[in-house]
Amino acid sequence: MKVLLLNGSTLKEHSQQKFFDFLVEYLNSLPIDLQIIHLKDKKIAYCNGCFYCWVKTPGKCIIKDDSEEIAKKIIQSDLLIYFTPITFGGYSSLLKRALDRQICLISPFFTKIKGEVHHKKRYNKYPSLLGIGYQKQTTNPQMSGNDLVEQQIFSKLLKRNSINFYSPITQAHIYEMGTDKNEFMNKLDKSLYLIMELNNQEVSAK
Amino acid sequence: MSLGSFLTNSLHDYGFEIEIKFLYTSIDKTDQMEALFSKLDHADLVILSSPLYVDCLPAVVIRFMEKYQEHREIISTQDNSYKSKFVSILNCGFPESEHNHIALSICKQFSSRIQWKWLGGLAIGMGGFISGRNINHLGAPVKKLTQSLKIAAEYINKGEEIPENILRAVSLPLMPKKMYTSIGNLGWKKMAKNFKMKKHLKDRPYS
Repeated sequence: MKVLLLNGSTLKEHSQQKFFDFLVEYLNSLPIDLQIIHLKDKKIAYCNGCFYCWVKTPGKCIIKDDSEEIAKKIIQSDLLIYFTPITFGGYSSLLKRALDRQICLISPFFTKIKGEVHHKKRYNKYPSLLGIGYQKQTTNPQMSGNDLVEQQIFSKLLKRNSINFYSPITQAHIYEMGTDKNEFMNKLDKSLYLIMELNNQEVSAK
Repeated sequence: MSLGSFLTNSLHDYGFEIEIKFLYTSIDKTDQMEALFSKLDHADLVILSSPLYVDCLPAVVIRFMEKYQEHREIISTQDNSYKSKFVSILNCGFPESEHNHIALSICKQFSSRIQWKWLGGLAIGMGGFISGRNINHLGAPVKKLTQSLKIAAEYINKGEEIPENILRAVSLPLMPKKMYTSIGNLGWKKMAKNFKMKKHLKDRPYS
């Protein structure tokens, strides 16, 4: 199973680096083909909303930078993992900058999914999606209610992305920095098992 | 006149002095961002006007929010008394305005984290119909929208939260959904034809 991890964190703090290393060590212990892209090391321009990736060079962005390599790797993977600090409930700008450039992977044409309009598929197969968001707990008691609200937004955002990017399975996992990593890993393990099962079934069906 | 400009024009009539800044062209320019931050620190009202990108705010807007929050953390010990009011107006290319709701939740959280007063999020669908055109020239389909934006401006002027019924009125569809998607689908074909790429619209370059 091909797994692509997009690291949308700058890993500035030691605790973030430690958590990321712990996660990668775990992923490396699984029977998967793991590739990691550290977005902070990539040259990726902001999407300018020109829609040329739909009408002028269909399926490809006209801006030539590292985004093209990422788009190719995403569509050829079985599982896409986002690693990001939860930022007001969403992704970091580093991760979002890479994702904004991926609309070339879907079609401009509209279709209805469960009564709501979305874009049609461009490809037959899209990867499952696993969002791993970490959150530094707010110490100010007047502001701490924001943490839970932002966790909920993060999970909803993953679900919405999965509709637009046709992910067969989507899961959001949140790690509150400084809490028990094992509990987090147990939940993550279950999700990955589910995704690997699905992938095995697809491989057998072929 | 864009949606954001329509709202700011309505506020201008109440005596607001309006200044418009473009994040896309200034986000990586330190001097321009510092100048913007010092204005924001003492603005009575901040309006974010943005399209929806991939279910959320564009990366440029998120980068601005990250940077401004850092700035606020630095100055919070010096001046924590001034609280701007904040409104977001988002539009998406889908017919349903609800696609904007997650991005508006993120705007609200940003507002809460930097202790601005949240007055509300205006969610607009069928953005492809407006698409940079002057909203004053779009006739009947935008009549309800412009009326509701003017009422929203009344509440913003008073520094009050925009009521739910006004937020709902702003979000009403501009035309039947089927009509919008049909015109939209034809529009993509027409644009591709201009580049002689109509037959390639379904290409899969990374298969």
